[in-house]
Amino acid sequence: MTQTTVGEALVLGLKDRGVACVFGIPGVHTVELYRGLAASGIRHVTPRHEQGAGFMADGYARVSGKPGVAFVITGPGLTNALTPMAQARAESVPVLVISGANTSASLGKGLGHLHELPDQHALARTVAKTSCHVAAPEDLDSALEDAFAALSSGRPSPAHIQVPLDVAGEARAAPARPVAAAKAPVSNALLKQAANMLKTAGRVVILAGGGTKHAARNLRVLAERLDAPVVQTTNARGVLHDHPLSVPASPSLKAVRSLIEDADCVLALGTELGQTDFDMYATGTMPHMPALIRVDVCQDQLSRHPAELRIEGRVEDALTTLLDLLPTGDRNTDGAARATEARDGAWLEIGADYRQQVLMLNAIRDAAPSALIVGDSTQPIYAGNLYYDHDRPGGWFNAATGYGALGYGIPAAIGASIAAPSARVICLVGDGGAQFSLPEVMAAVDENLPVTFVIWNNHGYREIATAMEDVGVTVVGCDPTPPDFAATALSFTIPHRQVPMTPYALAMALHDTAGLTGPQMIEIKAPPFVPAKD
Amino acid sequence: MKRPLGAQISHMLKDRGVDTIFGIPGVHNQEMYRGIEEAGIRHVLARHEQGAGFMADGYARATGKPGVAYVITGPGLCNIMTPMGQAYADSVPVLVLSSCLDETAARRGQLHQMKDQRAAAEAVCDWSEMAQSAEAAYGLVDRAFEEFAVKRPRAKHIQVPIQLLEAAADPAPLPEMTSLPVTTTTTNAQQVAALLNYAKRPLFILGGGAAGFEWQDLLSQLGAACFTSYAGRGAAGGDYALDFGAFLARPGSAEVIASADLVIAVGTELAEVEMWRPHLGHRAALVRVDLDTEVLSDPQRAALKIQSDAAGFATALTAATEGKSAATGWEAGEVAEARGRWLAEVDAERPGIVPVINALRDAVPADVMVYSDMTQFAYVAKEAWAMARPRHWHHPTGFGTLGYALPAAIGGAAARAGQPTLAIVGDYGFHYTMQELGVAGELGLSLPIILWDNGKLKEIEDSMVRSQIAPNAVVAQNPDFCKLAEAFGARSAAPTSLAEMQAAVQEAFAAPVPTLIYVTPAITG
Ligand SMILES: Cc1ncc(C[n+]2csc(CCOP(=O)(O)OP(=O)(O)O)c2C)c(N)n1
Ligand SMILES: Cc1ncc(C[n+]2csc(CCOP(=O)(O)OP(=O)(O)O)c2C)c(N)n1
Ligand SMILES: [Mg+2]
Ligand SMILES: [Mg+2]
Repeated sequence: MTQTTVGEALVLGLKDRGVACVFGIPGVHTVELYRGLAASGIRHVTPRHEQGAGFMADGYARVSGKPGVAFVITGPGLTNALTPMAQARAESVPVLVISGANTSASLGKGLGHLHELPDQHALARTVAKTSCHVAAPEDLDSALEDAFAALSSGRPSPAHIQVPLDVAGEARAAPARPVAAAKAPVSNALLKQAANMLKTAGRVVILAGGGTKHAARNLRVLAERLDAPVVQTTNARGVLHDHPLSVPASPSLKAVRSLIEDADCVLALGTELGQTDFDMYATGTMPHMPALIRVDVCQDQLSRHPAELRIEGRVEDALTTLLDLLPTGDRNTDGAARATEARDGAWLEIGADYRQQVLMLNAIRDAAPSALIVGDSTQPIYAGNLYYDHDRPGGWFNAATGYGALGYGIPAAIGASIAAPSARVICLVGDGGAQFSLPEVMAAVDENLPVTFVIWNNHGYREIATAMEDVGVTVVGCDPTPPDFAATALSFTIPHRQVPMTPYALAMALHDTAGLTGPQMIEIKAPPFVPAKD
Repeated sequence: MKRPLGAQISHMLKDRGVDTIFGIPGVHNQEMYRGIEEAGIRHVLARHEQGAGFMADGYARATGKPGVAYVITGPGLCNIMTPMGQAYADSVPVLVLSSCLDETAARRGQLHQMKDQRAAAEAVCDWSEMAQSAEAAYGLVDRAFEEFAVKRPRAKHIQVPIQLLEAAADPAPLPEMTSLPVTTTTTNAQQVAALLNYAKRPLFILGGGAAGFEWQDLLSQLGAACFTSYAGRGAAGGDYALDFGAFLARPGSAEVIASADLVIAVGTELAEVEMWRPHLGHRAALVRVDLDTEVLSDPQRAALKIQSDAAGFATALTAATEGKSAATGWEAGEVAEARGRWLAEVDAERPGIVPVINALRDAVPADVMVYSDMTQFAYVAKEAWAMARPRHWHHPTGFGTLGYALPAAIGGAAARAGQPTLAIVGDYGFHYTMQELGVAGELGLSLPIILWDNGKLKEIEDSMVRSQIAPNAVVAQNPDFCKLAEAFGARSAAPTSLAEMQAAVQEAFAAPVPTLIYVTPAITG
């Protein structure tokens, strides 16, 4: 049997599980992970901060559907990756963080070792679904199995593996082959019940969550067969583009809530019914959902909200069976009219500023069809989360929802681009959010990725300034002077252009730069925050 | 008058001497921002919460006062955990105040929600507590300040639910006097004096905790030699003939320590990062003086342990040894010889850096305060650059995190208007927090930043080579650093000789904005 070090075996184990790329920052404490890496053929991308590694792994996972993997050092490497791990947990993204740990004998003793934490393992467990400590060489196999189970079964979640400095260099045999996880079939009996409820209902509404993104085709067939409007959460945008039954608008909006409340049967597919989608104005109440049927991969999730029928399983599996159980043929329940009413109402409701920003988003989509739009917490992204109809399933995602970590956009776009090399990736980020992770643009330069970084530059934290003003707080701390983005781009050796805030100018800029193969920057001159006169 | 609790907290901090808060606002903590301006506190807006945390650390290390940061729930707090871990490891008084969600058990999927925010923070700091009432919030703030004054200072976290921050509350009580730290008794001092009576080669090891006292007179009266930890550099002044310097990491230091017939370690963890060996190497009796019982009870075999602050110990020992004649076992020549030998070792280990360090030291004013990052330039300087003043060199020693120096220097410079501050960073580590340059520009800090560009993650490359791993993942492309600095409103210089570098540094101290000084190994020609 071939002998390897634990570090090398770990890399082989990742390769056996289909890992093709890791995002990592090496350190003296993780050199053993790098011993076998170059020979393994796994691609290594070096971000400029471990937070970047975590967010890149997230963007990569969302687009590839495979776990995104990050290598970080013990201590500050892991604490730097905590925000992305928490973000991945809130958004159900399979991110695997592999870190070093100090020598086994020193753990927990407070001896002042370099990078020491009182209890790193406990810390990781506060954000990851599972954290595995490789105490001895033979623990590696079960650590990999446990971590990958957490990443891929139920609702995907972040996982963590840590390997102490002394263990990483120890000898062991090649890793055990991965055990193929048995996929639990979706209950036919429950699906039959669901089909019966749907057949007899007069006004069905479908709530589509991120879990529908791999079932877009069947979702459309189902919607048409049931004549049911499809309300899409942020992560579901793109599953039903430009369709009369599509309601690409937030269920937090009154018009969309009325649509849902007016239904006599609601089918929720792959959505956790989370606050940032369903109650982002924090009213404390969810829309009333008559005769709610839920399909979700996670039993815990299913049990969190009252429902008439709860079905555990993947949306793509459930839909295949469900379609077999539902009669074909015309059925008219005013679906298109109900959807139109909700859309029109929602469009009015979001207000003039957001409407203008959505028109900018439409311009991006039309100028760069089938692009991946990866966003940060900036004005047009909030606008789009409320109302925007993307043209590619899984092609609209951002961190303005869920955990809401600013600084996600730039690194996540880089991860997305690595997962989908032929897609155009547009990263939409505010001037404030851009400053959280700007250096990561250099990783896109390293890898020569076709990412267009679109900076919405309104000279400050507009979102927060407005919120402070609304509650009568003198606006403080919302005006981080943005860098000169043109000069920044120049120093990064990437092209930059500045455009006024008009859909036409933005579309032209995207057209002109469509052929570029590497990263570039487009800066939109957006209106700065002006305090209201009192 | 009743005001929202968020506002009252800022007033309370002001009453307790806080003049600067580092932070980033969000919707969740906006009530905390209500009070900042009206209380007359300066707010320094970082570009990432990590920057705010390191600035608070740099401010605290420069002033000895607590550094305070305001952050939001969830990501704001997670982003500041690395600085909290750093301040925990290096005993720096940093207080982080954050908002938290009102209800987490019954409501899932809320914005900024995480599994258990309080528990997560507690894993990287001294303690993390949630206030459920205004009184509790005030009590926690006072507890933090009390502990900073009397215990080994370490990062702490207080979180307050949003609704509570919004709710009207009475003002906080007026500040009380904090108590005094545990200190050395006359009996203890006499015990040490008795040991000193027999010692011919007494040796002090002065850590960061000892830096509050000027040791030179006492040491020379006792005829004692000393080492310092990295954080303790300068504790014996700049020209004490029996100062072995910060060379504890040199294997040869163990021999010197073994040759001492009494070792007195004050305010030092004797940590692995200082010595790179498990044991100090002493053969004679070891006296341990520290505020923290965790330090006193470590495996270093002490004959006498004294729980005390360093200054109190030094004062009591001065009194107990009055009139005692100096020990005669040390010779200035052996100290100078050892230092010379170790310096040569340092130079040979990472060649080409010592000359740059010497030129730099000659160009800076005596009272300069230096903040260094995890770069080879700093590793060499920590040993090779002898400090004349205590508490004037700050390095992320224990937790060892990249990206510390720039924001920490900003916090320090903001606290010491008109006094010189210098930052030293590596080309890769600079990426971690380069955005904070914008803050230095806004504050108009005359801050020279030495950027040592060796074109790679050199320390890691060296480590791979040592481990017989073909170097990989250790080269990352760099931006044009000078242009980048200018994009953030800073000045830049790219000297091509040591003399030019010296001139650039001196100009930078007089400039109205920070200056990035780009230096490569080629500068020595
Ligand atoms: C880590 C983190 N810190 C703070 C916040 C709070 N926050 C949300 S949006 C925002 C302002 C973003 O400014 P910018 O990116 O310029 O977008 P704008 O609102 O101006 O379009 C802030 C500070 C956050 N979400 N995450
Ligand atoms: C947060 C964090 N991540 C990773 C490391 C490991 N690490 C220590 S030094 C170093 C390389 C730094 O490169 P550079 O700043 O260019 O300094 P050089 O060693 O080249 O002088 C790395 C990655 C660390 N100390 N902290
Ligand atoms: Mg902005
Ligand atoms: Mg370097």
